[in-house]
Amino acid sequence: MPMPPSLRELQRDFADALIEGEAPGLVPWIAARGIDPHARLRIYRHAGYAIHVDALEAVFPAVRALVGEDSFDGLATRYTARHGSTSGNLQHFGCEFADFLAAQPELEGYAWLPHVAHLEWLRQESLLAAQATASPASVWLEALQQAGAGALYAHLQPHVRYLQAPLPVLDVWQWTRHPQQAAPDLQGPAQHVLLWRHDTRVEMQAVSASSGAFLAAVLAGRDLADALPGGAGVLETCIAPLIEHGLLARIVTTPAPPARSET
Amino acid sequence: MQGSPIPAMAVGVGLRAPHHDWVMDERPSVGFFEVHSENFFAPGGPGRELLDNLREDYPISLHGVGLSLGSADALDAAHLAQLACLVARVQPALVSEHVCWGAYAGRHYNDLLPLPYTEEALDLMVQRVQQVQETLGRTILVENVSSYIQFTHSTLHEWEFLAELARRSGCGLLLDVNNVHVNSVNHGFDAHAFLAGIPGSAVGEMHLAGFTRKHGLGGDLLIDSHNRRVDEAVWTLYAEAVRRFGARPTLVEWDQDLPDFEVLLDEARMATEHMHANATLPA
Repeated sequence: MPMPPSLRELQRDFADALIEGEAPGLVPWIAARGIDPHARLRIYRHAGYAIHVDALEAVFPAVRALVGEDSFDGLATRYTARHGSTSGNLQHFGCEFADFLAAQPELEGYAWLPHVAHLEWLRQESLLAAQATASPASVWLEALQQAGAGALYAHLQPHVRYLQAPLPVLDVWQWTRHPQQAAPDLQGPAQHVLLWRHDTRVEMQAVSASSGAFLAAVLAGRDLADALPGGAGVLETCIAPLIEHGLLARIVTTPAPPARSET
Repeated sequence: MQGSPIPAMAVGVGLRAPHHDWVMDERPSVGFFEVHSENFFAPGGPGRELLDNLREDYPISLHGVGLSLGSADALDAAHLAQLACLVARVQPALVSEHVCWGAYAGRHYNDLLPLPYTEEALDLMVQRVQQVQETLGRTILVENVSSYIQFTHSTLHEWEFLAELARRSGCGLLLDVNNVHVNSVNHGFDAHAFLAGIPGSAVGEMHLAGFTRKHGLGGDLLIDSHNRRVDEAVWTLYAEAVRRFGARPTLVEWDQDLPDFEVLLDEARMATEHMHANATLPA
């Protein structure tokens, strides 16, 4: 009679069965009771994939609408097999889905798809990010006075995200919500998208290229003078969307940490 | 850091995202709400707002599905820290997790996978539950899970494992009555023997849910699908559990193919009727 597996050995073999579908070392230790142990393991394998495909469907509805349910399920299943989840919290699952789509040979003719996926992942990040308390204007003025000729940094709300895509990614995303409307031109111009959360919803807005460059620089932690693409003359244009939507948390003399995933 | 206790006769409902708006608007009469802890770990967003709002009117139970207490790997320290933050903020009446594992070598399967009921697994679970209780500064409940696999090298019955886990770690038990029934069919044991083997004083909550029957495998197999009403056999077992243990906060769970919230309220009403009919009230 062989020695039974240790708990670690059992979990190793069980994990193999979930990913590869085979666990020859584990099967002898599963009580059959009229049902093939392989069939019992398959229940967990199928359930596991379904859990992760469902999680991706919830985060990437536009991608699913664009490729169709069957194709999405196939891609999501392959992504799950290859990447797996690294957290007990499924809200983290899918952060590499856009890169995964970009690497799939059969999607070579759908170069816009990873950009839509990237936009949807940024929506997820924005949805779950913190809300900072904005400093009153008097604090900003004080920072301006203190700065003198020194550097000033804008700290944005933690839920602000930015995406630059070489195609009209926001138009494509919006079209998936209203497919009865005319389809956007996939060869259309690049789009710069500002994302943020208002109450419980993620909002998105296309911004100018100069505003986009400014946003990218600010989110990367560069000082305001350095972030302005055309000098102080374009400050009003670049900062207007941030003021309009209350996305500027504070202006201070210390850099903000680079924007990162909150999920 | 513990909210007001949930009355023993309270019947709650598991709150899922499609019902959030309806519940916030209608404020239904529900004994308590239970939510999956992980869905509220994020530092902001609609979940945080919802929970802050909900806890003003209802007792809250936090039910974790991702801590993977029984994994041979170490507990995910970041996950436990996030749970501790959430518990400190929400101050729930109850905190619970599962007697299972769900991760190996850093990969998470996000499922409630079965443990062998061995002394090795028991030692690990006792140590893990104690670690969580020390981190949170409070007692937790652990739930018996449904399973489709039973390991031949188990040396303890499932109920013996749970009873010993509660005794050695000091934790409470979340008795999922549907899971007892499902496992009794799947593994061929007597559900009444299961209840008889559970220390009633440790039972801090009960769960009810629906299951589906899987055909074509050559034998009986029930799947804990949480997608339909509570089965008559489970109501019968629940009545026995209430007679045996007394009234305990009871939760109706429904996770797949969610119906209108009124259906869940109707299930909660039925649970209340069973509880009143079977609980022995103090003299």
